[in-house]
Amino acid sequence: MKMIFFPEICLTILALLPAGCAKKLDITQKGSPTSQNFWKTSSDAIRGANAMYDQFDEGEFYGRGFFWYINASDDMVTGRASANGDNVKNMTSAVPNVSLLTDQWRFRYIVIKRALDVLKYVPGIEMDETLKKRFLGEAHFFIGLMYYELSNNYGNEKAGVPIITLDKEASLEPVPRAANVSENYAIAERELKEAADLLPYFDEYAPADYGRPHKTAAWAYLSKMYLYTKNYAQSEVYADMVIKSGRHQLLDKFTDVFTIDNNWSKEYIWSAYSTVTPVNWGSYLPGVMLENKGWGLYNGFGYYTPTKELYDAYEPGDKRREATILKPGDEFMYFGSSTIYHSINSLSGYQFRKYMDPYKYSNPIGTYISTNGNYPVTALNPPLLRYAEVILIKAEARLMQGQNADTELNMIRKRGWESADDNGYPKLTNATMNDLKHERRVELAGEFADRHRDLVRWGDARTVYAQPLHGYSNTIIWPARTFNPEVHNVWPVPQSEIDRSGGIIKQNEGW
Amino acid sequence: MKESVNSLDNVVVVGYGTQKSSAVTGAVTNVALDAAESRSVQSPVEILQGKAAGVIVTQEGGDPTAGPRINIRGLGGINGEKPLYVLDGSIFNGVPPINPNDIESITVLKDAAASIYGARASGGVIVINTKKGKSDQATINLDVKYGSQAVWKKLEALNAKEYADVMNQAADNGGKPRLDAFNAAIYPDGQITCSNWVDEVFRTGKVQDYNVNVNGRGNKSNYYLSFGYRKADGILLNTFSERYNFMVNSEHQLRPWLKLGEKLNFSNTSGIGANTSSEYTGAIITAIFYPPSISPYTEDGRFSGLPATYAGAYGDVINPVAYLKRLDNNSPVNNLFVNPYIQANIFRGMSFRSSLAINKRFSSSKSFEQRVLEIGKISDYNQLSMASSNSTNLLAEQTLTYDTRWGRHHLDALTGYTYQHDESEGFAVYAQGFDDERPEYRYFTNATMFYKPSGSTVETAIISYLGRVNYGYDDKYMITVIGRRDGSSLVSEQNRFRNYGSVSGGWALNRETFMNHINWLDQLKLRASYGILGNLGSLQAGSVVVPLAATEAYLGLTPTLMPGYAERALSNPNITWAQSKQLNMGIDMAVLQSRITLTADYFIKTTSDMILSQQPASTTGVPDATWINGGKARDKGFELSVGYYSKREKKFRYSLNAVLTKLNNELISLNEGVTAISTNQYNIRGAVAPLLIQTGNPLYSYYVVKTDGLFRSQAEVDAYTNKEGDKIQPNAKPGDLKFIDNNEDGKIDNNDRVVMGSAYPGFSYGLSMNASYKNFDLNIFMQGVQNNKLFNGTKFMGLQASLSGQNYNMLKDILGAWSPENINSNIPRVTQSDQNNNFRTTSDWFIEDGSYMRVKNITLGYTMPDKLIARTGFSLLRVYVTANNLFTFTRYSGFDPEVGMDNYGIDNGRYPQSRSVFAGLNINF
Repeated sequence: MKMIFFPEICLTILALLPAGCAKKLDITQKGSPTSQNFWKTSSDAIRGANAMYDQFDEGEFYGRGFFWYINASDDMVTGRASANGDNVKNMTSAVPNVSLLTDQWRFRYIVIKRALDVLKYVPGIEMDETLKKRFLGEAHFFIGLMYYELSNNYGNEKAGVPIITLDKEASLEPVPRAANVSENYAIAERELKEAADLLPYFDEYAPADYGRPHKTAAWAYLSKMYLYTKNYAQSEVYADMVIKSGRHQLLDKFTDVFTIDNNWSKEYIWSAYSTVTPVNWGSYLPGVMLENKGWGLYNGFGYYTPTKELYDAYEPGDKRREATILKPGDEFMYFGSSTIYHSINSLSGYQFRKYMDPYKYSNPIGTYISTNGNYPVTALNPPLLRYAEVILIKAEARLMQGQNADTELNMIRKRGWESADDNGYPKLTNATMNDLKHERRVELAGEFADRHRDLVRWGDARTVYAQPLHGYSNTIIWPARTFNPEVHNVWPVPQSEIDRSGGIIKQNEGW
Repeated sequence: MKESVNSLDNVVVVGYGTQKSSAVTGAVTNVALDAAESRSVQSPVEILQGKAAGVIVTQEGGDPTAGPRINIRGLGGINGEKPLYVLDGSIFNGVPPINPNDIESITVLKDAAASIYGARASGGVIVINTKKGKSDQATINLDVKYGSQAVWKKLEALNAKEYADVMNQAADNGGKPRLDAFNAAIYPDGQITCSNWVDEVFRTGKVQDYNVNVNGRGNKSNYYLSFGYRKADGILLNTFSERYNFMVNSEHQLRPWLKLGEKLNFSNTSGIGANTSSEYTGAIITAIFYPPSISPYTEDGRFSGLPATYAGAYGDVINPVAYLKRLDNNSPVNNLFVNPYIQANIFRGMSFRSSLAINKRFSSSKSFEQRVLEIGKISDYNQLSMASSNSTNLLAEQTLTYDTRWGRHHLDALTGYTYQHDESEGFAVYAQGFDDERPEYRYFTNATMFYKPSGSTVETAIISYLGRVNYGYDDKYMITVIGRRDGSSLVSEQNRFRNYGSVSGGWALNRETFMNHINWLDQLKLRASYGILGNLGSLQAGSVVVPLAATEAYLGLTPTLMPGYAERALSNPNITWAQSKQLNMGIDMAVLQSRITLTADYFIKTTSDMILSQQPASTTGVPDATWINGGKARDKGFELSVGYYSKREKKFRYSLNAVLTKLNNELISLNEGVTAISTNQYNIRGAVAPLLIQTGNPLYSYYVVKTDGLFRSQAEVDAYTNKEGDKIQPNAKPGDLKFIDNNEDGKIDNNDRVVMGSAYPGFSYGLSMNASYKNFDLNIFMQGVQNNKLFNGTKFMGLQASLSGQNYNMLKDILGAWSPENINSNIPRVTQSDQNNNFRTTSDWFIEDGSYMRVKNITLGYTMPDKLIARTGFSLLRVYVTANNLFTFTRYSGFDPEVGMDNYGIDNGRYPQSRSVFAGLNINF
C-alpha cells in the first residue's frame, strides 16, 4: 500500500463536504404560507377573508349552476341541444349524475369553510376593530347565504343539508345531512342576523369595497328566507327593514336596472360581481344567454331562451316585456351597430334581453365582455336579489297574511309601465295572490329570483309543467312534463356527493 | 455486427459495483441493445421496449414531445411506480436526457437486488452506463441518419353530402326538425366537400439524426467525446422534437492505486407538441368533427371559420389546421450533468470510491396563444406565457468495497454513505393584449394586460447508509445480503428514517459433481430473493404540511384584485412513503456452449402503505385531496427470456431472442372502510366514465354495462322484459343497443356495470432477430401486447349524431349504422335524441381488444469490405436502411393501439405512432 498524498486527501474531503448528520433533513418548506404559520397578523386576516370570494368566479356558481334549475320553469327552455340540460329540464332520473350540477354543492361548502375559518381565527388577531367587525360580518353573511341557497334547492322536511360547525376540527370525514331543512334555515337565520348587526350599509362603503356584503343585503335575504319558510310576519318585517332603511329605491326605467352603469344603483342589493378588467372574473350568465355563436361575432352559448308563454304573460303596455325579451324584428344594439334580432340557433326563437347591455358597445371585447369566449363573463353584475324583489316579497308576505299589498304591487307596476304618475298603468286594487304571482313572474323573469322555486312553493308546478311550451312561431318546442310534487319539490343531491361520502349523504326521496 | 449478450462471464452492473453474471442471485437483466444505434429515437428509454422481460414500455401516444412510460414488473400500486435511473453510478432524478448512441449498456435490477437503492428502488432500477474510450488509436465515429415518417392509418370522416344526409336522418329519427345547414335546397354549399380534414392535419415529417464521437485510450487515460443532434418533424402539422447532446467522459490512472474520472454531459431538448387527448379540442378529433364543406383557408389566405349563418348547426369547433399552425409553445430543457469521482485502492482488495454528481436542469417554456377569430369557437384574446424552473441536484456518495477469496470462498462486501440534496425554484408569468401577433412581437414588452405571476420552490434532502455482502462458495452456492437505511426530509421528524434490505441466494446446479457428466449443460442456476423496498418517489413535497393556495377575487367599483390565501387540502403530519415486499424465484440456463439460453422468473410484489389521495367530503370545505397511507396492491408475474445463437464459425450467423412478460395486478385493499376510488375524472365529455379502482380487481379496470348487440326489431324490444313483464328498455327502438340488466332490477343504469379488463397489457413480448451474412447485417425486432382493452373514444365521438348537442361531423363507419335496411349492423341507429342512451351509457360497446403486434424495427446494413475501404482512409464504412413500425397487426379500430396509459386506455383520437424509414451511413476513421 502506498501513502496517500495531500491532493488526494483534498479531493476526498471535497467529496465528503456536503455530507453531514441527520440535521440535514430539517428543511422548512419555503414559498407559500402554511396553515401552521397563517392567521397571525392583520394582513393574514385580510388575505384569509378575501379567500371567501374566490369561488364566485366558478362558472357553475352564479354563471349557470342553479340556473339549470331555474331553467326547469315555464319561462324558458334550453335553447340549444343539450342532453344534460334536457335531463334537468325534464327532471329525469339522470339529474343526480348531470356533471354540470355536481360542483355547486361543493363550492358552497368551500365558501362556508373559509368563512368559518374567518370566524375562528380573526377574533384573536390584533387589528383594526372596524375592519375586524366587518370581516366577521362578511363571514356570517356568506355562511347564511350559502345555507339558504343549499337549503331551498336540496332540503325539505325529510332531509336538510349537512351542517359544519366551528367547534369541530376539520376532518376528511363526511357529515350526514341534517334531519330537517328547518335546522339549516335556523342557521341561515342566525348567521344573517349576526351579519346584519356587524355589517355597514352599502352607502357606508368606499367604492373600493363595492361588492362586499352589507346590512340591507342580509335583511333582504332574511325576508326571502322567511317567505320560503312561510314565516310571513317575519318576512314582512325584514322586507320592511330594507324598505324603511331609505337606502334603496326603484330606478325610474326598468331597462336601466340591467346596465353596467347601474351595477351599484339604488336598486342593487346583491349581485354576482363580474368584470372583464383587469381579468375575466365572475358570472357568465349574460354569455350563456347570448345567441349561440353570437351571430358570428362572439361565442354566445345560447342556453336558456324565453318561451312564448313568458312573452304572452306580459300585459299590453308593460314595458318590461320588450326589456326582458328579444323577439324577431326587435331592434337592439350589438357590437356598436343597430341590429335586428333574428335567431339562427335559438330553439324558442326568442332571447332574453336583460343582460344585453354589455354587448351594445362597439369593440366591447376586453372592456365590457370577456376576452375568453369559453368564459364569456361581462362587466354587468347579474342581480341575485334586487330591491324590486324585496318589495314583491313584502307584497307576498302581506297577501299571505291576509293583508292588502296594492301599494307594493303598484309600485312595481308603475315602474313597469314607466309611468310618471298613477294614471299611466293599470293599477291594481285588492290585488290577490294571482296578481302577485303574475307580477313576480314578469318582473323577475330570467333572473336568479327563481321562477321554478316559486311555482314549486306555490303548488303550481304540477299544473304548469303539464302544459307544453311554445316558441315564437307558436310551435311546441318542449313537450308537457310530469312534475311529482312529492319528489320534485327539491333537486337531487349530486350523485358525486353521495359517492364521495361513501353513502353517508343520502339522496332525496324519490330521486 | 455486435456479439450478443450471452456470455456467462459477462460483468453485470448491480449498483455500487459489478458482479460476474454467473454469480448474480437477483433478477438482473442486461439489456441487449442490438441495433439501437441504427434506430432513431428521441429518448434513451424507448430502446428498452420489448427488450427486457418484465420491463413494460408504453408509448404515451406518438406525440414527438411525449416520452414513454416505463414500468418494471407492473404498475406498482395506485401511485404508479417509476423506475429509478442510475447514470454511470449516480442516481439521476427522472429519465437521463442522454443521447441513445452514447449508451454502452443498460442493466435492469428488477427484484430485491434493487434494494441497494432502498427507499427509491421499489419500482426497479435502470442502470445506464455511457461509453468510454476503447480504441488504442483515436477514432472518429460518424453516424448519419435521414428519413421521414408518416401516419400509418387514418380514420375517415364523412364527406359533406354524407354528413348532411346523416344529420337529416338523425333529426328525422330523433323527432327533431331538420336544420337548414343540412338542407341542400337552402344551403347547397354545405353539400360540397372542400376538405378532408384528417388529411389536412397530417403530413410527412422529416427526421434527421447525426452522431459523432471521438474516443481513444492511452496508457493511463481514456476518453470519449460525443456530439449528437436529432430533429424529428411530427406527423401532425407544426409538431416536432429536437435535441442535442454533448458528452465528455474521461478516466485517468493518476497513481497505480488512484483513479480519477469524470462524466460530463449536456443536453438540450425541445419541441412542439399538440393536444390530442382532449375530447373537446384535440387536434385529431377536431379534424373529424370539422365540417368538410369548408376549406382550411379563405380565398385571401386566412384561416377559415364556420359560415356565420349556419355556425350554430355545426357545434363548437376550431379549425384544426389553424390550431396546429398557430402552435407556438416550445419548452426547452437544458440539462448539465457533471460527475467527478475518484477511486482509491487502499490496500489489497479494499477500495474506496468517492463520487460527486451535480445535475443542473434549466427548464423554460414559452407559449403564445393567438386570437382565434374564425367563427366556431371564437377566443378573442392573445396571451404570452413564460415559465422557468431551475433545479440543482447534488449527490455525494462515499463507498468502501472489500473483495477477498480464500480457498473456495469468495467474499465481496460494500458499505457506503450518501447524501443527496435537491432544490428547485420556478416561476410562471403571463400577459395578454398584444396588438400585433407576429412572432417578432411576441415579447412581454408588447403586452398591455398583466396578471399575477406565480412562483414556488422545493427543497429536499436524503441521507442514506448502505451495505451489501456477497458470499460465494466454489461458485456453486451464493448468497447476497443487502441493507440500506434512508432518511428523507419530506416527512415529519418521527417518520424520517426507514430500513430496507434483502436476502437472496443462488445455487449453480451445473457445478455439482452429480451434474458433471452432462457436458452440454453450461449453466443451470436456481435463484431466490426476498426484500423490502421503498417508493419515495410517490411522496410529494408539501404533503405533510400543505401550503396555502393563493386565491383571486375582484371587488370594488374599479375592479381590483383581492388576493387571498386558503387551505385547499388538509395536511397529514403522519404521511410517509409506500413500500413493497418482493419475492422472486428464477432459473438461468445455458446449453450447447451457451448457444441456447433461458432465464425465467416468477415474482410476487406486494405494495403497501400506498399514498392514497383521500378525497375530502364536500363538507370539509377544501377541494383537494389529502394524502394518506394505506391499502395494498399486488403485482404478480412470470418472465421469460430465451435466446438462440447460431454457430459462430458459419458465414450466415444469426441469433433469436424472445422476451415475454405475463403480469397481473390486483388491488387488495384501500384505506379502511373504502373499497373504491372515484375515477370520474377520466371521462369523455362528462358522459361516459368507464374506469374503476376497486378492491379485488385490477387497477383501472373498465367498469361498464354489458351489451348484447342491437335490437333488430320492435318485437325484440318488446320481448326484453323484467319479472313483472315491464320492458327493461322502454325507450328503445329497433337499432338501439340492448343492455344487459346485470343486477336484474328491471332497469338499465350504472348499477348494471361489470368489470371488464383494463388497458394494461397482461401479456407483452418482444422478438428480436440479428443476422449477418458476409458483409450484410439484418436486425428485425417485433413487439406486441395482448390481453388488454382500450376504450375507443373515437367511437363515442365519431359514431353518434349530435354528440352532446353539437352536430359534429362523424366517422365514415356511421354510414353502416343500423337501419331497417341494414338490420345486422353493430352500430346503433343514428338519432339526435338518443332516448335509449346508447351513447350516454358507459357500456362495453366502446371497449375493444387493444392487442397488437408491431414490427418495431427492421435494419439492414452493409459494411464495405476492408479491401474496398482501405484506400479511402476509413476504418469502417457501413450503410444501412432502417424502418420503424413498418407493419402493425391489430384489431383495434382507432388510429393506433399504442394510446398509452396516462389516460388508462381512453382514446380520444390520440397522436398515433408513425411509420418511419431512414437511410443511414456509419463511418469510422
